[in-house]
Amino acid sequence: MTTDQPDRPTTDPAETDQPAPDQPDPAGTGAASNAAVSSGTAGLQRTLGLRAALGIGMGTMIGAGIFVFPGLAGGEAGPAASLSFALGGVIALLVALPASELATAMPRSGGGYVFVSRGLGTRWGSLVGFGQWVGLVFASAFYLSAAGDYLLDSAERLGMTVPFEGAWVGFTLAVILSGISLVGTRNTGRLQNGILAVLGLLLIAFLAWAGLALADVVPGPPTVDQSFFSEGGAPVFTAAALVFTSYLGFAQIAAVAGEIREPERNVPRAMVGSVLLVMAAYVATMLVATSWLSVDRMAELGETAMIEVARLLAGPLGVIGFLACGMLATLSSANASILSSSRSMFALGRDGLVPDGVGAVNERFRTPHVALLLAGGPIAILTLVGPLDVLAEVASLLHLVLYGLMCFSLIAFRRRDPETYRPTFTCPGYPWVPILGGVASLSLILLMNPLSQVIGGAVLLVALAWTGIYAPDVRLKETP
Amino acid sequence: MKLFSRASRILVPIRLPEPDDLPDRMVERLGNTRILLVGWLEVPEQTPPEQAKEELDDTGEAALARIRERLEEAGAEVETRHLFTPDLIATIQSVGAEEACDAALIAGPIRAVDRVLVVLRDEPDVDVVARLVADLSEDRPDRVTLLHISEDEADLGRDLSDRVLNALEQQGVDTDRVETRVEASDEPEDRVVDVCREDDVEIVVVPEHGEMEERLFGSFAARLARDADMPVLVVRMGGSD
Repeated sequence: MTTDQPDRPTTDPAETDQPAPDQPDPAGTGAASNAAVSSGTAGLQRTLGLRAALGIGMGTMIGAGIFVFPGLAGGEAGPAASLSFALGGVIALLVALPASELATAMPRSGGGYVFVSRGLGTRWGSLVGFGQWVGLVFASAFYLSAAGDYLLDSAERLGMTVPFEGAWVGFTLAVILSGISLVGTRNTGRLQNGILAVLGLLLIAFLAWAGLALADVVPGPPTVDQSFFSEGGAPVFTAAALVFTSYLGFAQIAAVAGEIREPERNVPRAMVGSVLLVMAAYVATMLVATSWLSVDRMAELGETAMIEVARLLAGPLGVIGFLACGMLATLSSANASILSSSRSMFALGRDGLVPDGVGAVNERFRTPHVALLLAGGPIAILTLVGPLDVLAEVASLLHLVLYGLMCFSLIAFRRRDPETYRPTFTCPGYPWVPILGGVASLSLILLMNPLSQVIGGAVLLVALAWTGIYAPDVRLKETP
Repeated sequence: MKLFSRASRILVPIRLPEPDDLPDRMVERLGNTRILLVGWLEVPEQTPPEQAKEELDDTGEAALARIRERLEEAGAEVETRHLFTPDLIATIQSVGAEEACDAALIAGPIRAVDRVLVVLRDEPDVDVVARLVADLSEDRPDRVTLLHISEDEADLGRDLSDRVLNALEQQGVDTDRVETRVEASDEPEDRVVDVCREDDVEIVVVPEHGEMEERLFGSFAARLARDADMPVLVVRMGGSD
């Protein structure tokens, strides 16, 4: 990528390169985009305000970072795992700014896939389209497995014996959640906002109480004396690669950008704001957890370490409170991922990269049942198969590929400056922000487990092969 | 027939695929207005509006076209829209604001004839209310009642009634057919519902009221439509949120 182009060309139409392979007919694209605009306004209304958009972003994110990852990351990097969360947050911010610009230019459902396929061409587009679908499947399986482990661990702590393995709990949850989404839900917006509000309040209460306990204002558990970099500096980065899953939600805001009021203002605010808010919560939670639990203990407890923190702070009441919140948070993340996954399938179907039937809407329930099954089915299987950290890393990996390519597609759009690309929000710090965001996203992949890298790589190869065989001739319109 | 540019613009939501009945009298009454006919199909949250549009666009189309035809025969200028949404209220709200509609209709059975009740409260746009009433009552032997019921704001009520009366006169409404009633009641909303039931009202015009989310259908207007069980026209208070 060249970086010596200070400003995008804005006026001279002669300078507007027609990007070669994917846009054969500029006149045709113009007509198509007009049609898209008018049909878009007919079906799609801007009903979401800033708070709703923030809620969508945070609702997807907050579960994993608070309830699941502190133990996994702390066991790997010690107290410095808080830096891992901060690092992940900074990368997410670097991606959030370019993503905001792209979202205001192309407010269509499909989000990242739409940006990359239009910016870098069909090949890259199909890569991230399938990557997004599978990535969300892995993410959802991860949340549900964690929820299963949470349920089992808490049950055992409360003295119940559970005659089956955690994986089956995750599997059952996956089946139930898929079933609910197939039948379709209405008006859960308020419920979700309520859950998010309760979570937020409890989290603030927990962190405040923990802060007071750590400052010896109120009695608290004895602190563990361990140095900040007890495990050295390197695990900070590998843990960052692992916990990046806890930032996957912000891009959901891009996917609903077409429904957000005053997008030029609210889209970037919601994306950046939701990342900053959850980042603060994650870092604080991590610091609290490593004050009371040793690295070894954390490594031993893994994803349920936060339940132990809650028990140390508040006894059985804390366990129940954390269990309830953890379940709600991870289930809401899983649910959001199922929906987004089915939406990526719809975007692929719209572009002819998968058979038409995938976009079908069920007559009885009016839900996209094929796409939902293509999300729910694999999720259920993965909950039975995958170790938690591999599920999380593969999810992260596939999203990081998407985010990296999203940043580069912003650069491609700016350089080409097509007629149809008219964002209302401009990413600051161009070209450095998208370059940094892109490079950082892709670099994080190098720090993952080899197994995760192999699985992620295989998914991407299969995606390329599928596109090569099924849809070798697909040429995408500039604006969907 | 009056110039369309001056006529009130009314949003009429029609539930698809099987619309509720829109009585002939109501259709005729709307003949002097500009109608935004919104066919809405409730889709679950799992279905992106775009996908619903692609897959379900023809659902209920025939039913909507029939209603459109009837309205046009009655003389109304009609535009149609298809909406696919899990959240009718928020969507209608934003369509109403975007399309600068003066009022939205909550359809209901017609129980009496030639009597229009205008509920006054808060600070409605007097001209919009008057134009709406004028359009609805044009060429009809309507009696119009301006009703203001409050706990203890009778002065405000009289002032508001006078202003609406003036505006009606400017719209060419024969003010001999207009009566004003200003009452006090501890339970103003209950009392309005009672008046609607008792006084053989054909259609109620009521300004929207309350929080953004419940303004249109959520609060008093919806209650009125439900409890009094008659057509209610909700007048937008103007200004998008």
